[in-house]
Amino acid sequence: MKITAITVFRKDLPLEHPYWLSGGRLKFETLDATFVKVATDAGLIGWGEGTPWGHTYVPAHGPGIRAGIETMAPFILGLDPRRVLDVERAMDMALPGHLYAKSPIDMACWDIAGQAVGLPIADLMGGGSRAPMPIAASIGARTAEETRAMIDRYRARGCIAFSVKIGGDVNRDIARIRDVEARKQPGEIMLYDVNRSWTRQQALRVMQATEDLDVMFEQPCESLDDIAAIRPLHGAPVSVDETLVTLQDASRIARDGLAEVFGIKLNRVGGLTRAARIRDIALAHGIDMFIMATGGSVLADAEQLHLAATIPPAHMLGTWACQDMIAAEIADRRGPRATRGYLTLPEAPGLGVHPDESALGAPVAHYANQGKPQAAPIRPGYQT
Amino acid sequence: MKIKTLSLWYHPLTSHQRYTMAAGKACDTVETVVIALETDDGHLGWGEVCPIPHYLPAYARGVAPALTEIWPVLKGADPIGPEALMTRADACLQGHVYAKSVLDIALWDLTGKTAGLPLFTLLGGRQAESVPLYHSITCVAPEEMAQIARTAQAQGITQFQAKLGASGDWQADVDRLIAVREAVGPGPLV
Repeated sequence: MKITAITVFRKDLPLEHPYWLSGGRLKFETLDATFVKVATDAGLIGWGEGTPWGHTYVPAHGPGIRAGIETMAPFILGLDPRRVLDVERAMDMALPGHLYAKSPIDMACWDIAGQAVGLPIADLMGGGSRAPMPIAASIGARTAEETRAMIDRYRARGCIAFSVKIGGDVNRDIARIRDVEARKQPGEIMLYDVNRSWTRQQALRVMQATEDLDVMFEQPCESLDDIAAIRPLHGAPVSVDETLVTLQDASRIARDGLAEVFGIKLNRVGGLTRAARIRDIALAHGIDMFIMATGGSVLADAEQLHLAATIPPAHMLGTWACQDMIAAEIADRRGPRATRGYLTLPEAPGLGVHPDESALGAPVAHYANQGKPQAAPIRPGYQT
Repeated sequence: MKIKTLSLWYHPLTSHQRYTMAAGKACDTVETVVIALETDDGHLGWGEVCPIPHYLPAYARGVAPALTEIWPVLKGADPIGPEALMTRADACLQGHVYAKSVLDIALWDLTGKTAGLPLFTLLGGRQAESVPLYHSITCVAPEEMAQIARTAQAQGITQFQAKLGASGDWQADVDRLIAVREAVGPGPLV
């Protein structure tokens, strides 16, 4: 089986409500989504999606995904999409780094591989749990009142896990945490997500002031060096999100004991192939996980769900349903949908959901084999 | 002074000789990216970045989308004193430092022109009259690399970089290093 064409679509996904990070420092209203359709000579079609959370959040942006695919396409055309490692190596040879641009291609290849053998991606990856997966609601609000209202809204939808965005002001953050904790229901998981905004002193002041509360923080500081520096000085469990990008990051965090939780976002780490390796590092080191999309439609939600389903439920803290925040529908309500705070693995082969092409508008790029495909330079020893 | 326009060109640069590096990576022609920032009072600041293909996490075609993303921050901004504006560019689009480098260079160009000083003066002052070049020798057969080294040395080159690893054969790499060292003699840095 060979990849014969790659078609790229761009779609703006408006957020239902404006979304704030770090106490209002960053505002998000629309996500720039890239959808990738990979066609094969066997007639199978795979779909991928890359939707960064805006362009100011991590080093990723929609136009960069499309430019990256333009540069990598000649090296991907003609490869067997079921051989995801070949595709990964070809992309790495064509363009080092830029994992966020590779992720949609990787996703489409897994979709094709699953369809080719008649299995959902999670089963193809080794076996997916059918247990409903808890959705962690993302609570990005400016004030305590807005935070309460937003949590109540998701609580009413059945959510039991919440990622509450804080950061920016020490006293306000302490007050916000105490306010949310006072209203926490039995069995709920609260993760306080700082999105890198604290300096070391700010982190220590909030973490020490809330030590009586048994709370967990995500990405308290900018870098792994910052997180390591404050590590011996506080008692709170830490989740690492934005600074977990490569397998080397994962092994450093695990080896040096920098965090108890990984927040694995598929687009950021380069897709399912790479995320699965990070998952294994976590499982081997007693690190629990949140598995999430960086954002996007039901396609991105489905992708994260397949990886989440391969993790023993005891170590899976939550996924995410960005679909709940998006005021756009590209698959006519098909695919895994948030139901009472949970997502359930689709049983259809591959990804389990494809978009309606008509909902994506005209393609912005199309790459196809023209005559002899340009072969990727392949390392000696990897030649097949 | 305010930035009025940003113009960007892609231009192919073809090397005299095919350039081969480890793991079979090679290039004959690389695409360079040149930009010009024009200010409202007619000054031009120039920048260039030329990422070698397949080499680092940087590519020519990633530059224009990144600068387009950053443009709202640049439009109408004061280009003098590059770091202030570059900080705002970093907040607008994280990472992608290779794309931002071309902007940084153009801002420094405008800053130097406005001050009427060469950049080395703005950066701390001139400490050397001239700077030695090194010659990068493509990874080919040992004798051929030795010949390239001799030719460059005859032209005045005193430092050499020899590319290794293209054939996946460590013994050939040893032969390459020995051949280049014997060709240039014991003095030069290789």
